[in-house]
Amino acid sequence: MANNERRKKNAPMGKRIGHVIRRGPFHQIIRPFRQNRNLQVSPFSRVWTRFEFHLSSGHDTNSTALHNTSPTMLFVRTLVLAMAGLVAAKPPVEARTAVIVDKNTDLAQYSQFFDDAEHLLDTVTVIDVKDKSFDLFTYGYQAYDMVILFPPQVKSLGPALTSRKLLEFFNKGGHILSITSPEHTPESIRDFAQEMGISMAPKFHKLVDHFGETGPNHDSLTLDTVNSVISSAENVVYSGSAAYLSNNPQLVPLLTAPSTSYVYDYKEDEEDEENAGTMGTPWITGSQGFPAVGFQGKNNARFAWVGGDIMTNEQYTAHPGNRQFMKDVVEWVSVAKNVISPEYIRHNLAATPDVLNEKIYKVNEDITYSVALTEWDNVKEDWVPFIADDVQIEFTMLNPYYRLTLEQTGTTNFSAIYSTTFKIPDQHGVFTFNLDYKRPGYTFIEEKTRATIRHTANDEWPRSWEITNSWVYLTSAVMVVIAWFLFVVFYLFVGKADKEAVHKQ
Amino acid sequence: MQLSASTVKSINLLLKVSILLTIAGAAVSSRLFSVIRFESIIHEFDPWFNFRASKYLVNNSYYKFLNWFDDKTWYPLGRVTGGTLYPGLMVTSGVIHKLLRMVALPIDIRNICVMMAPAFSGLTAYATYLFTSEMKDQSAGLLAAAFIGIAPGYISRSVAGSYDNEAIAIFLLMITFYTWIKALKMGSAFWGAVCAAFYFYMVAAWGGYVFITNMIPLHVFVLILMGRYNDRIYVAYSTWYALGTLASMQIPFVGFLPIRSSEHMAALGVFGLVQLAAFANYIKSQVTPKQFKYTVGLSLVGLIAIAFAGLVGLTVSGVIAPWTGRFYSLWDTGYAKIHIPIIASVSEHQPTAWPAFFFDTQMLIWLFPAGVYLIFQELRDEHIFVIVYSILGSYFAGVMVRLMLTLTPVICVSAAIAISTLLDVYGDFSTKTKGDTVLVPKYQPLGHEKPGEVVEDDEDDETVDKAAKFTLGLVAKGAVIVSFLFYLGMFVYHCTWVTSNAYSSPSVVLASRMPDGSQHLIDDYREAYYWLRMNTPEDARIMSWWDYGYQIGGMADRTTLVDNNTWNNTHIATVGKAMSSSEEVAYPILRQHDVDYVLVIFGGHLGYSGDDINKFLWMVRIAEGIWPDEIKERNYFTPAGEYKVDDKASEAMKNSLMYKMSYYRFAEGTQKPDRVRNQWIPPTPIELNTLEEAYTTENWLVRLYKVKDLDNLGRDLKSAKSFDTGKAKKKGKAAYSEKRAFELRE
Repeated sequence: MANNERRKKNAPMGKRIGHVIRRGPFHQIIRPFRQNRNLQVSPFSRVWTRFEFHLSSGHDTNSTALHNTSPTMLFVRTLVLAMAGLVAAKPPVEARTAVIVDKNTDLAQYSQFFDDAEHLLDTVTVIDVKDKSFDLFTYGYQAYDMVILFPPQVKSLGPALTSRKLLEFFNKGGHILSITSPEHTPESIRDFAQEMGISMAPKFHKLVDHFGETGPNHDSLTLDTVNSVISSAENVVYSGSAAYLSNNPQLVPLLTAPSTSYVYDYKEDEEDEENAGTMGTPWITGSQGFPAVGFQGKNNARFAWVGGDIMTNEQYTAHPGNRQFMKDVVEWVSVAKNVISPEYIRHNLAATPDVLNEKIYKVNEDITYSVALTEWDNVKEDWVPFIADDVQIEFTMLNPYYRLTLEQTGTTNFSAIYSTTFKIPDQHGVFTFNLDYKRPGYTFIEEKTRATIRHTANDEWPRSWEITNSWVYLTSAVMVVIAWFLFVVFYLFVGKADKEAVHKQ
Repeated sequence: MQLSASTVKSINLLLKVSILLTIAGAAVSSRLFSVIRFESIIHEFDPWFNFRASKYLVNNSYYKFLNWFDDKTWYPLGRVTGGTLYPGLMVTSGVIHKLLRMVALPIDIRNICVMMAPAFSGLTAYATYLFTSEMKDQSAGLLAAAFIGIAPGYISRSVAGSYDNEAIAIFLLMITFYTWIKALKMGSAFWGAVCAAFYFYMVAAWGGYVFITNMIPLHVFVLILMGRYNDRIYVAYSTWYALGTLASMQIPFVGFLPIRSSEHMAALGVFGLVQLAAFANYIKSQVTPKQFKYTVGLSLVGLIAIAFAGLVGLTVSGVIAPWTGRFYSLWDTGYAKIHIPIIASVSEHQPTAWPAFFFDTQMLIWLFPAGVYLIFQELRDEHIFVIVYSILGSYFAGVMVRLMLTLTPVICVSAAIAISTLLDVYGDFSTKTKGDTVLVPKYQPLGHEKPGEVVEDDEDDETVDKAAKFTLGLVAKGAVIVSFLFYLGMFVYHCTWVTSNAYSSPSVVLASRMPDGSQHLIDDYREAYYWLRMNTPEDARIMSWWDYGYQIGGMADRTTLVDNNTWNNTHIATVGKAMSSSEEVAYPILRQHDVDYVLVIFGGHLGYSGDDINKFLWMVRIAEGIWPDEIKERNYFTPAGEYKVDDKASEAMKNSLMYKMSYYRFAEGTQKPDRVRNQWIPPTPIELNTLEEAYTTENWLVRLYKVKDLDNLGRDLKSAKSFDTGKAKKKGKAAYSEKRAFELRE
């Protein structure tokens, strides 16, 4: 039982694996990780728990205070009841989710959605958007790990959820799932999404398609997901708005509008009686419209937006595609899916594989770089090897000297090892192993490891006599010495003898 | 009372020793102003590197020092420091450190470094004494020692804390010259070898060894031209050249330069010439003068021509390195300004202003020609050395301020000869009168000089009115002696004043006066460096103009992009370009070089004129040298051609990173005067998108900026900033009914 709890706890902790890795030299982290694996005490949990503890203490006091002071704040009965057993069984330090609703939202409608998400959203706090005491942060730290914004009917989300607050929350690593409807798209979300390159259609715009089975108002479209990495749900029945997207590579489209569809202002259409049935210029046409979009920040915080309310119990029952889709999206946003992380990064001389991560190497040596990539498997609830064939590193000093594709050279229980061996160029300096693995929908990995490449030391060159070319010079030097010696000998003795001989004669 | 010869001799010795010790004491103590006024601290810029290298040597082995690859400078290129420095200074202090430890005196390496220059100045005085004694006599030697001990021209680079190569190099220069003269005079291979040994030490200590490398051959060359060739010259020069060159090639930084660079070719050429001269001399002794003249003379000329042609050919073909730019600038002072701004930008490479000569040597400067004139009167072989030295030294000192240093010793020597001659003549108050015409004394034969010995004339009997003449002579002598004593007193006063006021500032700490006259120390540099040391990650990379590289490395212990060892002009130009470009251009450069912090010196608040805005044009020029299409000096001036930082400043100026960093938040709200340039900075807020202010010191002298990371959402930092500050916020529905100008997704 204890083990199981631990395992459960590993999931959100594992999400921070990238952060943990940056806390120290790899070999320090890695070894205990591997040794202690059986004991289920990983250094991740150690570090993360400490970090969490700090947060949670703030959070606890905060929520108590909220509970006492704000009667409007709801712990929705159904939810609490549904999750009571789970919450009780879990340690208090968990992924904390804030569900933002307004008084018109009937959360009972969404019970299936929450049931599906229950294993992901550990502690759920339901917050009324009018609640003035609500704040995303406690003393500058995040009070929640994830925020789900239901489409509120109020125009503004209030001072706690301005676009800048949302951005700050996101930049600090918080995840956001936002559901809007054509009638209700709060401006703060719109502004926030605009910064990411998601341009939501204005109020009272909706996506219609006059082809295919699209219901009486031509606004109920059946879509397939475009991003099988995040979700491969089929037949998602969608009615709502759409956005057009910028070229920001961090965006991950989830649903694409059919090429025959368009987004237009239905309110204007309704009010304008003269031209009823005809409409003005459409806002977006064709497949430029995206009804649902995901976005991942450089800090791996995740954001997803769905432009129509497709997750009520009603919808779920009628359309299993919707259920699958939303399940996948929540899984993705709550970083339980497509989470990859380097277990370790190593570099060593090819000749001495045991001496790891030296700070300094010599030019022209053969060096091996390896990285172990691991992926969180939410079904197994464990880390599994991450398999890919497009992992590359650059060996860079100002400009890349090498750009190499790593080859999988083995697997551990938890990760796949990718490595490559190459010869350090004949150039000294501070080089960077730049692992830049960014795939849409996956956690971004950007690890820069620096190593100094030094020049050849004075005694590391071959000795002169080992170089054949030098023999000429060595011979001449030796010859001069011998010749000089002979000269001195002859000068001192031979000459004298001759002179004496001459003298004698 | 009659003293025996031996008593005189021992009194003589006692006096000599005590005088020399006093001179050494004076030399050391006058260099301690900086330690007393401020503290025991390493000065200026280069000494910080030497200090850091010394620490490295002391903490590691000599072998490690020799192969030191320094990855904390010139990021990311690094510097092969062990192979690109003159290790003499560090090894000297390392040896002293070790010796003191052996005798149980664990003195901190910093204090050894600080006190190195004063200690060696005492030795310099002694070496100068020896040198001058060879030229005239020991009294002149003592005078010269006293002069060099306190001459500001030498003090300027050897106060306590000024831990630079020159600190020991001047001693080595003088001792090498002394041993050379000794070798030349005696024709001794031993002294030649000693000279080569000191020459080797000099090569190990200072790049200025090239001065010796050319002085000695030139001396020999002049002697040969004057027909003064003899076997002593042959022995001395051949010994010195062969040993000295081989020894000098053992310094990694010098390596094969002695046979490959033009600066060393004169020594090689004269070596050949000496061999030829020796050969010719031998032939001369074997054949008749007429034959000799035609055959040998002609072939000599031919050989020289061939050698010269070979030299030119090798230079053109690139086997011998052509003259370096720094050397060209010695011949043409305008050369550097046009071709190598990096050299021209250094203040100590500027041509000397004439008051500097007086400032640095006071009365010695006008005694200097007199001394040279007196030397001309006798013109022995060694005197030619002083003449050659004074001509070369004067020229180089006129071209470059820092070479004032090499001129100072010869000024002291010549002036000492002049004054000593004067004292010889006018300081003789004995009842015996001397001949009227004797102004120039006849020097004593070598090795027999006795200080103060009167030169006598044999023509005494011919004088008529001895008594009258004696009285008259006494008055004249008295007047000259008294006035020269006055001058000497003034000289001492001047030297002390200059030393204490001009040359004793560490320039790391600035001293200023409060309104009530008390001293106020401005310690902003160290404040900033300490902040860096304490608040940034250990491998943080700091970009600054190269002037501050050594100090950041030494005091803040952080990685720098460029430093005072200006070995890579392109890298410096890159920094110059980043500083002089707009943020949009600079940011990718900063990112590419992994810069974490940028440091600028801003004197506008304090009125400190040595700040980066005043150096800014050099950054522009150096950057322009590499990227003439992107950076143009003209753009940084107003249309009227003025260098302005107020509201008339040009667009390029206002957009440059340097301007923005300097004046960021400086004049927000109200106009504020820049006290260095006496211009009013407009109150328009300066917007910095890619950097954020990290720290500004008490007097705004040093400003540190942190380079922002890429935006989390992938926006450019300008729009990120305008979103954060709410500028991009649009109100109402209208803002959304218009499509934003995205580059649409494919």
